[in-house]
Formats: sequence, C-alpha cells, structure tokens
Amino acid sequence: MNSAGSMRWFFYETVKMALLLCALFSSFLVLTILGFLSYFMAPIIVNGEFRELLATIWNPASDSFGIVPMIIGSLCVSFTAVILAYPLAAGLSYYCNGIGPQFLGNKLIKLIEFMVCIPTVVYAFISAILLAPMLRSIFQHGSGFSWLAASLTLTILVLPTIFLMINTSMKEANHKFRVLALSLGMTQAQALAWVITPQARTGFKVGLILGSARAVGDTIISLMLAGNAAQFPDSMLDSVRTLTAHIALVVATDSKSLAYQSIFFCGLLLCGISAISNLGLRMVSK
Amino acid sequence: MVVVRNVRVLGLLVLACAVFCVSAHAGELDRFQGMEGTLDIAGGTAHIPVMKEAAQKIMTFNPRIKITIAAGGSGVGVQKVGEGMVGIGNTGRALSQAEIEKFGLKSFPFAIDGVAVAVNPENPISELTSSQVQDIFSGKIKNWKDLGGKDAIINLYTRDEASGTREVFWDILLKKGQVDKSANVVASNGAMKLALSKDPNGIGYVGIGHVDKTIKAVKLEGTIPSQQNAAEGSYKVTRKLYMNTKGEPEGLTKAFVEYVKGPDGAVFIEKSGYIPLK
Repeated sequence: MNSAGSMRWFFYETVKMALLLCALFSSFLVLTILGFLSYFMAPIIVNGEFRELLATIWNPASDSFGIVPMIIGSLCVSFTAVILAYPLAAGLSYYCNGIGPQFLGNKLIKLIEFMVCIPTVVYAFISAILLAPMLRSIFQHGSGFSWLAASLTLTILVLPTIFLMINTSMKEANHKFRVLALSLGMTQAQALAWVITPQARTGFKVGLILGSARAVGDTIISLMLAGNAAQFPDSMLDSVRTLTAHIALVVATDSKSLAYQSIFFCGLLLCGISAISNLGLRMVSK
Repeated sequence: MVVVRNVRVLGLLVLACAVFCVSAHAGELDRFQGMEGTLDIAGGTAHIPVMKEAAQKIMTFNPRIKITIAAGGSGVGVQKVGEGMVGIGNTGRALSQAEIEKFGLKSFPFAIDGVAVAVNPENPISELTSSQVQDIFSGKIKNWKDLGGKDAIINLYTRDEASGTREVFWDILLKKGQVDKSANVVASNGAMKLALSKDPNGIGYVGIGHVDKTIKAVKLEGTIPSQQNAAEGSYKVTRKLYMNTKGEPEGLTKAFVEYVKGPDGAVFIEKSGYIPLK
C-alpha cells in the first residue's frame, strides 16, 4: 500500500470511528434519561403508591394525586393539533411541488423554513394575548385558555415540521420521476397523485411521527394556553392540563411529596407515548 | 497619536465606571471580606428568590464562600435547622413555642409577603368580603351579577402548587377551603397579571408587590391591599417570612442574616415582590 492510500484509509477509519462514537453517545444519553426516570420511579412502584397516580382526581390539598386528566389532556391537545396541521402541511407540499407556480412555491418554502426558527415561547405569548381573548369573545364560554387555544397554536408549531419532511421527499421524487411521468402523457395532477405521492411516502410517514412527537412534547404552549385545570374537558373550550405543563407546574414543590414523584411518572409516560406512536407507525407502514 | 490618547482616556473612563459600579454596594458586602466556608439554607419556597440573589452577590464578592439553597417548605426548614443539618432554616410562619424550646431556635423576620385579590380594571366590582372570595373560588358563586356586577360567568385563575403566593392566599383568605377544579392555573405572578389584564371576567390573586395599573386589586373587607396597610397590619392576607437559626448566629451565618436584613437585602426583597421588614 502506498503512503497516499494508507493516509486515505487512516482518514476514512478515523471519521468512521468518530461517527460511531457520536451515535453511541446519543444512544447512551437517551438510555441514561430513561434510566434516571425509572430509578426515580422505582420507590413508588415498589411501595404501590403509583396506583394513587392512576386516579382521576388531582387535588394535593386532599391527598389526591391522579394524573389521568393530564394524560387525557395531552392526548386531546396534541391529537387535535396534528389532525389540523397534517392536511395543511400536505396541501402546502402539493402546492409547492407542482400545483402552484414555482416562484411562489419557493417563497412559501423559505417562509415555512423560517417558521421553524421561531422560538415556541413567541407563539405562546402572542396567542396568550391575542388568540385566547379572541376565542373568549367569539364563543362567550370560559376564559379562552383552553384545549382549542393550545391546539390551534400547536398547529402552527408542528406545521413546518410536517411540511419540511413531506416537502423534502416530494422534491426528490419530483426530481426523479416528474419528467418521466409527464412524458408518458400524465397530467400534472395525475403525476402527483399516482407517481410522486407513493414515491414520497417516507416523508409522509416521518412527518407524522415527528409532528406528533413535537405536539405531545411541547411544554410552553400548553402551559401558557391550555389553562392547566386538572379536569376532563367537556368541550374544546374547557381548560385542560397536559403532562408537560404538569411537570412544569409541579417541579418546584416539596421533593418528598407524592405530587413531586408524580412528575417522574409523567416523564416516563411521555417517553412511552412517543415510543409507542413511533413503533406503531413503523409497524403499520411496513 | 490623538486617537491613541482618546482611546486611553476612554479606557480609563470605562475602568472607572466598572470600579464605581462594583463599589456601589461594596460597603454592605464588606462584612464577608476574608470569610471562608459553606452555608446551607433550606425551607420555605417564597424565600428562595431573595436567598438566591443574596447568595449570588456574596459568592461573586468572595468566591471562597459557598452558599447552598434548598426548598422543602417551612416544615423542612424547621426540622433541618433544628437538627443542625443547615445553618439557616426558612419558614413562612412564626415558630411554635414547642419548636423554639425543643431546638433552641432564634427567628429573624425579614419580609412581609402580602397577597391581593385582583380583577380586570374594567370590572365594576372593587370591593369583596372574605366569604365572597371563598365562595367565588369554591365555585359557589359563578356569575358576576350575584356580586352586583354584569351578567357574565366568573373565570377563576389560581397558581401552581409550588407557589408561596398561593399558600398565603389559600391558608389565610380561603382558610384552606376548596378551589374549584375548573380554575385555570398560571405559573407566575407575571402570567397571572397577563391573564387578568386580558380577561374582563377573570379573578385571581397576586403578591402585593406585583400590583400595577394593568389589573385592579380589590378592597378586602374595606381595606386596600397596599404595601403600607400590609406593613401596618390592617390588611390581613399577609405573612412574615422568617430566617431561623439554632441559637445566636455566628460568623458567616450571622453575616448572611445581617446582609439580608440590610439595605441590599431590602432591594432583593422588593424585587421579589415582598415588603422589607426593618
């Protein structure tokens, strides 16, 4: 082996090693977090106190520590947001990849890419001073801080995430197959529906996974907009509390109380929800 | 050369400013000169912002001092200082005779934490009785018209479990009564003000130090919830914040207590929304 060749080999192996270390370190971090959550949860699982957490009433003043309302709250708020954001993101992707004029499409993509950079607290704050009072005066019900307010704001948050995933893979498919499809006599719409969409299905899938994960995991939007009442909502205009907001609200309490212990359970549940939805989607789409 | 000289003059000016700023309160911090060691503090949550600010200033002034601050509530504060596990145990209530005798504790009240019931400035209601407030928060009174206001559902706002403001309000004004579970929960005095300033039908409560023109603090039993009335004792929804030590404090502990009760401490106390006690 000549010296240039061995240099190249050495360089290649070093980079490979460095990348492997990065991957190992990231997995290690995730596992450590799960490990810590389980470690903190262990005492209340062993002595059976976690059964008190799986109740429907949260009222520490009367020793009720049920977090089921928060689980329902999280699911309601994030599910609604994804339901609203997904068709919007998909529609926008179609518009930017063939349906609409190209120059406008490119501008839209730039705009949505910019939306990713806006800190969530900005969305939350603007919604708190504009959207919540607006909902209150339109519907004349409650304070405006509600399931609906949080979901609408989350929609804006997850829309770019979903869009960018779909758009990227649609662009790639377009690049590969659009000319071919059109030259076979397909119309623009037919090409999108029968060729591009199936080719871009990974993007549609990943968009759903990442979008849902972001919606479930976001804290500041639900904390500032959902109202945080630990109750089961009767309507979308009722105040709800999500698991993430619950952690933020309870984290500063007395570290000996069951209220404090409950937040580790919430953390574990949040990890669980992400893991299950992730795995579920993978299984369904195989 | 002129330019160089100007730069030098500018540099000197900057240096002078820096020295001046640092020395503005140095007199108060001087008592920590040459000290060394660790001071552990535990107890009440309401005290924490004041303790933190003081500790930060002290540790910046003299890096050889280390101060740790833990929460845990008043009960934990008494327990830990009594057993000698921490130097200062904070409580949001006066110590009982039994606690003083059992552990030989000494109390240093340093601030008054008062809580005002507040509504939107547009709300015509400007006076409530304690029992009305209790009925509003328990959900018994649901409409402003039952209180002489307009016909609109009352929107309740309360604070998170860890809030010292909530503790005072709930202990003293609600007498540990139930808060309706549909009440919105906000995470800070600032968030409470924001919510109330935007909600014409809302009612909530804030630390007296946080009252400004964006919200309206209602008179309670005819008394205005002002700093002055709280200090004089005519406004009742207040408590004192105490630092407690085991026996007469010495050394670093003594210096810390004096610092918090001094002019620097008063600034931190006001910044945290409380009223300094002399």
